[in-house]
Amino acid sequence: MTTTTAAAPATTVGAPLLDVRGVTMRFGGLTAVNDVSLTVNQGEIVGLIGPNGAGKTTFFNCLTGLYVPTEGTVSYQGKVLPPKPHLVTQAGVARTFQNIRLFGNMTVLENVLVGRHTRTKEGLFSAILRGPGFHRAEAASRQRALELLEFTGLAAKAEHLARNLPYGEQRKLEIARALASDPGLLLLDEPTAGMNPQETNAAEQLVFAIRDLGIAILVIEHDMKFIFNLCDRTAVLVQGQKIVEGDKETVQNDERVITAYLGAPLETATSTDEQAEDAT
Amino acid sequence: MHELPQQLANGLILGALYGLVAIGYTMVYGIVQLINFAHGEIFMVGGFGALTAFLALPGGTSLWIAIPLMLLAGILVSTLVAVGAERFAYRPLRGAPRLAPLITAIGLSIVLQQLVFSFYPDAKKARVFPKIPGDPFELAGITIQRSDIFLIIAAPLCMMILGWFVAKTRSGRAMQATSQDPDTAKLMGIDTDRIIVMAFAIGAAFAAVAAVAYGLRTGQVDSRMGILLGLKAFTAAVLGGIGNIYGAMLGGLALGLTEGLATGYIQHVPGMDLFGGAAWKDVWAFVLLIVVLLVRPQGLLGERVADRA
Repeated sequence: MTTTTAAAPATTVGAPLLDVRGVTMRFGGLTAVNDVSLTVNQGEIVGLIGPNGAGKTTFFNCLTGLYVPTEGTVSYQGKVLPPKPHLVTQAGVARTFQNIRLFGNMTVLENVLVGRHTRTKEGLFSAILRGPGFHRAEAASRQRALELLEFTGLAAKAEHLARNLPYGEQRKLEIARALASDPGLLLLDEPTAGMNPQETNAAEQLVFAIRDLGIAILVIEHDMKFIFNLCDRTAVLVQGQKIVEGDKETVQNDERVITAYLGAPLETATSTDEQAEDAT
Repeated sequence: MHELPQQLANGLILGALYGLVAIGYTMVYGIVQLINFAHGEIFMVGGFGALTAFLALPGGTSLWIAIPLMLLAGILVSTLVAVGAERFAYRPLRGAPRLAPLITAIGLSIVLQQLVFSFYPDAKKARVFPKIPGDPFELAGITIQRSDIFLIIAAPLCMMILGWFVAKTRSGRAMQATSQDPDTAKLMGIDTDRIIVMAFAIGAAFAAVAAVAYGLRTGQVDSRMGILLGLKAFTAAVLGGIGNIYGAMLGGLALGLTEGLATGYIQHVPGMDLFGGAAWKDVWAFVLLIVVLLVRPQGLLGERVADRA
C-alpha cells in the first residue's frame, strides 16, 4: 500500500462502502443529529443538503471520529469505525473542510506529504539512522504527492507556502491532501463555498475525475445546481433529521423539502454561505 | 578591551547550554501549548542518571568510554521520566483548564526533586561529576576549558539533527502539522498522542545532553540545579519565540551573551558600577527579556499569535 490507487471500473455502483446506522449526536439538551442512517456504495457520489444549522457538518464530524456519536454506528467496508480520527483515516475515509484547514506554514508539497502519513511507515530510529528504507519510502511518498498535485493542477506551485495560494487553489490542495491517504471514500464539506461559477465548474470536473479513480464521494453542498449535476443520490437533512433521500426528481418534488429548505423555486435558491455551522 | 572575545565565547557556551534545555520547553509548548515547568527537573534527573552510570563504572575507566555511557544513561533516565510524566500527569489533564497542568508541573518538579533523595540522600549537596582532565587550551587568544569541548560539539550537532528531523522526515512533518492544527492533523491520520510523546522525549533527550555538559563544566550535579537553569532556559525559549526550535537556541545564545557581557562590562559604564559583576548577571538576563517582550511580544523568531491560530 505505498503508491497504488485502486483503479476500479468507473461509474459502476457496487457494494455498500459506508453504512451509517441510526447516528444521533446530542450536545447537552440539543440534538444536532437525530437518528440518521445513510449508505454510500462503491463508485457513487452522494449529496447531503440542508439549511444552515441542519447538522450536516456535525454529521461529518461523527463519521470521521471527531465526535463520538451519542447513539448509532458508522461502518466502513463492513467494519465499525473506531471514533478516533487517525484510525478512520487509516481505514480509508478522508475528508476536506468547510472552512479551509491547511497547514499554512508548510509548503503545498509538504501538506500533501502529511496527508500520506498513514500510508507510509517510518520509525524514529530508521529516520535517524537514514537507512536505505528511509530514502526509498521518502522518494515514493514524494512521487505520489507530486502525482496528486499534477492531478489537481497544482504541480507548478509545489514549493509555495500553502497560505499564499489563492482561495480556489487552497480548496484543491485540501482535496489533494485528502486523496494522499489513498481513501476509498472521500467526504467533501462544501467544496465550492465561495467559488465563482468557473471555479465551481472546475470543481465539478475534479469530483467526477476522483469518482473515476474508483473513490466514492459524500458531499455537503449548498449549491443546488452543483449537487444535482453531480450526485447519484441526495439526502436532505433538516433540523438534524433526514427527511428524504433519492434522486434529483424525488428530492426536488418532495413537499417537505420545498417547505423546509427551498421555500422558493429552485432557480433562486442558490448558495448561501454557511458560516453558522462552523462546528469544529 | 582585549577580553571581549573571551567574554563572548563564555557567553556563547553558557547560551548553548540554555538553548539545549530551552528546546524542551519550546517543543512541548509548540505541540500542546503546555509550559512544562518540570522540565528543569527533567534536566536534573538526566544529570543524576549520568552520574549513576559514572559511579557504576569501574574507577579509572577512560572518559572516551565513560562519557558516551553517561550520556546514554542520562538520556534514558530523562526520557523515561518525561514520557512517564506525560502519560500519567499531563495526558489525563488534556482539555482541562490551563491552570491545572501548570500546577501539576510545579507539583511534579517537587516530586522529582524529592525522588532524587531516595537514590542519593545527600543530593542537596554537590555530587562530584567527572571533568575532562587537562589544562584549558587557547584558541585564537580565547581560553577554553577542556570540559566545554563536549558542549561545543554536542550543541550544534543536536541542533542540526533536530532541524533535519523536523523538516525532512515523516515524523517531523507530522510534528509540524500537529503544532499548526492538531484536529486536522488527526484527520490526516496522524496519531497526535504519539507526536506529543515524541515532543516530550526529544526535549528530555536534549535536556540530558545539557545536563551532562553542565556536569562536565561545573564538575558537580545537585538536586537543585534544575531550578535556576530551568527558569533561564524557559526565559530563553520565550525570548526566542516559544514554539520555534531555532528561536529557543537563539534565545539561549542571546541570554548567555547578555550574561557574559553584563558580567564583564556593566561596572565600567559610568554610574553603573553598582550593578555590574556576576551578582547582577541574572538581573540583566531578565532585563533583556523584558525589553524584547516590549518590542517584539512574540519573541525574536516567533510568529504573531494570530498566524498560529
